[in-house]
Amino acid sequence: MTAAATWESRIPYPALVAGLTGLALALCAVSAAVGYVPFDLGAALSDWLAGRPTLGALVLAELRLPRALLGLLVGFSLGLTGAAMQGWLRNPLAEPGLVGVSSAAALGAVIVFYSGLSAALSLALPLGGMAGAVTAAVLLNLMAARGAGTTALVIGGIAINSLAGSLTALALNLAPNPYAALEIVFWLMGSLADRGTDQLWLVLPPMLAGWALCLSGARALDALTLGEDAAHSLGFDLTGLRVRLIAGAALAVGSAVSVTGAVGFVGLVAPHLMRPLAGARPGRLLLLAGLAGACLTLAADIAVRLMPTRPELKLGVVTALIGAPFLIVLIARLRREEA
Amino acid sequence: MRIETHALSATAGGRAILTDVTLTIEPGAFTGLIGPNGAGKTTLLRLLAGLAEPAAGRVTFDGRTAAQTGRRALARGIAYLPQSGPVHWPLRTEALVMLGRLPHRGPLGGITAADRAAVERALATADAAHLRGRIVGTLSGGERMRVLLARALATEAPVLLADEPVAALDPGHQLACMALLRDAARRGSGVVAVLHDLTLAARFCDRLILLSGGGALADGPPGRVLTDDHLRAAYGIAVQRGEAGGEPFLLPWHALPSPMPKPETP
Repeated sequence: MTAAATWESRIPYPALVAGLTGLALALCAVSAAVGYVPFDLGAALSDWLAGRPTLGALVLAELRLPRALLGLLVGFSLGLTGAAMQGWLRNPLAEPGLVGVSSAAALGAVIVFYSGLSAALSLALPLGGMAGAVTAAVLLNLMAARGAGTTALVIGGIAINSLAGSLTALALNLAPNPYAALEIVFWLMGSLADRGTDQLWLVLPPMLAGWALCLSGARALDALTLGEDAAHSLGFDLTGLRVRLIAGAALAVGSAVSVTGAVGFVGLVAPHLMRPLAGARPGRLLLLAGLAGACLTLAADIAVRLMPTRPELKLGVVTALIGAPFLIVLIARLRREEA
Repeated sequence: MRIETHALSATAGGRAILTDVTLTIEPGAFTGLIGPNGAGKTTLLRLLAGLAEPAAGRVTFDGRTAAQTGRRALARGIAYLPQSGPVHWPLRTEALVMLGRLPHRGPLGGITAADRAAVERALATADAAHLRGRIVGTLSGGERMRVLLARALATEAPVLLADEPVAALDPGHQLACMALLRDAARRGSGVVAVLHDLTLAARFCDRLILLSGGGALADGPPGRVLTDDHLRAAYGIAVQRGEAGGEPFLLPWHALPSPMPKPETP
């Protein structure tokens, strides 16, 4: 009776989506209003919309809005791909950051940085990030195709993660001067500060494509709840699913990392917060986790600007400070459930 | 749907599991797939479901190959219940059973009244309606098996392939489950179940296929398959037989010192 009652009283899915979308947009507005110079958001907005080139309009259009929108896009990408990876590997610990996709993307971007290609071609950085993410995703795919179980896959992901990390460290070690190394280190920590409209337009198309690929797997991810044989027998092509999810994660995470550096744990935390509200259905979880990821990232990015620390803390540092204890609690809970 | 295998062979890890198996699964019959551990029962069931490619030979569904039939049409035609099926997320029973309707839903189509009705029928048939709001992870082994069976029934496919559907059930639910599968066959479905309980197999199945040594050692009505010779050759056992209410039953009695390789002892 009580179980049936909770089933009935669950918040309807459309209401959840609408509520989270509203929250994400509100946080976007707050993010645009928060900054280091005194700033009248209303006046700037009306100036900008009217096409008056005032300082306020310029700050809004070139600094505040890109930062807020990038927070939204990056957070959605991380939350969505986290949910997609967890559903696909049927492991609640799978996350772009943990299975090496993010760090490989970071490595790709660092190589581009290092080689000087990024100065020559603005597109080089996101392309480098995506190339790194694709490499990690293809390695994971090869392991999956050889019949590795999900535990083996996660361990393989961790191996990819450390390999990419050590190669990044190697690049730093070989950096021609300490300033270049410092620049890379700060970039790796992950931040949304001082990003502009150029970066926004650069990463928008690959991110949207990545989202579409991940979301197209919703039904198949639901079916995978019953294991691979059952999902196959329900009419889903699992090879196609693998290719779509890996390409989708690589596009979305690769471009996200190339703009903001590594922002960890959003992809882990967002699906976990949303799972009970999605009735644990992996397909439904995708969109909800994306929206929750956007909210978390925006909130963290607002927090770094409200904190008195100057220069501001890096976004990735804050998400890791919150996310890592969350991971420990999560593992403790998983162990209890298994026992 | 009529499933035919022709000179089917299957290998696993370089070892031949099945060699030259030719048989037909007809609609309207309840077939029990029996045989010792490692005889290839699950392998054969997966081949019948179109989930694996045979090493040699072919499987056809109403005369067409799996590729010609198409994955979705096959999914609507055959419901497959894997052995001790995993459930990876804490779904509620109702949502889990609804997964059985996926083959009937378009890429963007929502849940229809027909889907809800099919889920209700499946829950009622599998005696799982009272579990609808429970989270699957909290169910007992028997309850969980019935929910998974309801998921397979919800597809309402003309063929149901079940791998050890009664393994986790108590005697009462074993009998209920066997009766349920037999009734499904009476209504015109083709039902194939992997079974280990020879008495249940003898009492409820129309036909038994005894797999042993890489092929079908015997195939036919239970009385003709469960002979002393076949059981000795396949399982290396002697049985006690009896009769109750006009129905024969048999109990595995002791293992025979036979040429059959001994199972490893720990």
